[in-house]
Amino acid sequence: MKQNYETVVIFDGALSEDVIRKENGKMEDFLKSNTEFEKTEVWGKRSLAYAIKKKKSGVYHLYTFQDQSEKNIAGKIEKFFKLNETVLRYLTVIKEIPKITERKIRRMPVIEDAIVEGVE
Amino acid sequence: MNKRYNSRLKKVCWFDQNATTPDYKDQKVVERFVTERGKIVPRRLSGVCSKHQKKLAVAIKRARYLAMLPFVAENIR
Repeated sequence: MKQNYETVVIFDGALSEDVIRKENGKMEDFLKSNTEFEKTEVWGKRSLAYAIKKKKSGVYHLYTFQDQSEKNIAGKIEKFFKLNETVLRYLTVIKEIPKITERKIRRMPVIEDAIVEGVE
Repeated sequence: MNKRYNSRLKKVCWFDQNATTPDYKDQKVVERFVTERGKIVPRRLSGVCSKHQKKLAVAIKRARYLAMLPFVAENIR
């Protein structure tokens, strides 16, 4: 079955921009050759909530692509990154497309009524 | 604000109100549903509906793995 995927990759923030750009290029090439690659979003450098491999900052990249789920792309990505020391973390998930339905909007309550009732 | 007033006010799910779903990439939203210690806020306090609370829990756990949220917050005084 065809699925939408997204992968977040955290590169080591201590590396220079050139190195990260090169690693990003490698990842894009990998996805282009294996999947139907869509796009890359660069979130930029962020400080980490806790240290990973004693590093305190990371450069976040988000990749979106489509692939057949039988091909186990998440496993392939893991193999691709496992020995890569420039990468601190990677997470591949099936993308959720948010649905906005009419029902949800109708469920909004009238707040004024509640306050009047409460005071009395 | 007395207790009676509070108890009668029905809480409404934040995600229903804003017609969105929890997403681990949206750090600002996910942060709202975590205590300063880094714990997930229970439904009875936040008023999130059960459908969204389940998704929220997954989103928070993903955000923790990506170091966007702490597993344990340190240095709280």
